[in-house]
Amino acid sequence: MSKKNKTALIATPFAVLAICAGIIGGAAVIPAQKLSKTAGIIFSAEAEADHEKIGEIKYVEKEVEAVLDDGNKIVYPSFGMQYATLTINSIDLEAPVFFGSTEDLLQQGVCQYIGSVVIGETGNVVLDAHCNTFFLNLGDVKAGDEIVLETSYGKFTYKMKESTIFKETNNALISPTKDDRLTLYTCYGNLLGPTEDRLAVICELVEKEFYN
Amino acid sequence: MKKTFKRIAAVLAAATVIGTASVNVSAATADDVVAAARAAGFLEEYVQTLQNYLNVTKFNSAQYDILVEKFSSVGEEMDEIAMRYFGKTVAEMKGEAEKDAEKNGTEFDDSFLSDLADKMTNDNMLDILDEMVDAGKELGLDVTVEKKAEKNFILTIKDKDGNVQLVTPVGKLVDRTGVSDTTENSSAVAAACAGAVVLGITGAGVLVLRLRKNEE
Repeated sequence: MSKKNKTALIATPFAVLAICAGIIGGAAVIPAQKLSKTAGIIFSAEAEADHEKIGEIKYVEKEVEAVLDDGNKIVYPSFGMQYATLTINSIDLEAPVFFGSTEDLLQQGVCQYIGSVVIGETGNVVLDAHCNTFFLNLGDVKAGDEIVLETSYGKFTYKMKESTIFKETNNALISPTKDDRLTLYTCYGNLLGPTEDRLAVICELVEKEFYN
Repeated sequence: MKKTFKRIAAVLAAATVIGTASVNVSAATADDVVAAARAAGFLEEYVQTLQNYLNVTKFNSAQYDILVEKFSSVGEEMDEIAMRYFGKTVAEMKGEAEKDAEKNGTEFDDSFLSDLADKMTNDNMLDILDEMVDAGKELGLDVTVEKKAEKNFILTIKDKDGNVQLVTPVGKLVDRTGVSDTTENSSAVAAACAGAVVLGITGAGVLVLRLRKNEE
């Protein structure tokens, strides 16, 4: 056997191994993200306990009870508080909702844009999450699907109305509205890096139940 | 006796007048602060942010006065911008929008606020944010502004103990929801996998070529 043939004999398994490893690794990226999302949801209770102090960020948990114009009781949360749970059965999602949004809060759950109304108030409730964790399957939500937000003071049920793609520079969809609605959004079009496009799912309120 | 009583009454009345004149009677509330922000020409998103903040963060009336004063100063700056680009003040623009809605029987359209916001420069925004930083100092809060990009800032309010009370975007309001830090390595993993495949195929190709040459 020539020296060149020997080299080929040794190098071939490595080449085949590199190809196989590359294919298997590449194919595993998306399932790994799904697993990470599931783990994130499973361990969100632990994250919740830790969220008061994450790294150097400390939040003050404070709630203030108030009565709305219609006589219903509401509890205003402070920034960074987990004050609701979002459930979308059609995509098997149950996630904690934090009031306000920062990078560390986005790691732990769904975040509410601080410039949107508190759940239960009239207007646009805007929630967002990472497209590779909690809102990985947001695009699978279909018109008519039920979305539930539950807080300590009430349960609010929405139905998916429509979805749309918008640019990250366009604030229109997260602006206040006169009607009761829920806007969910996440990045669109690139699971592996940042993107300028966002997928928005717009839902209408169909039922609100205050515990009072 | 009657004269003495009249004198005492006159002195008391004078003292009351002087006392009232020297004391600042404006005892602002959280609602006044929100109204001042709205009158200044802030977009409704920011007004809602302020409302949400004040729902749980309580101040005394003197502190609310400070906030009203700061938002009034911001209002003056907004008026200057409005005059420069639209030839009218914020209040006049709002008045026109209200009249239009009444005339056309439509809902009040506050898009003039977005038009105004679009005209603001980076420096305009920084001037307004500086007012917020000053207000924070006067209230014993630590207000910081971080520039993320042109006309894109993050305003953070912390209490005296360093607890975060508010983090809010200014300018670009839509979050970066693309990749979370926990899975940020996915891009690197994907790139490494692609690299391995390319390397493997190239290696296999080179080997095949060499073997063919050998056979020849």
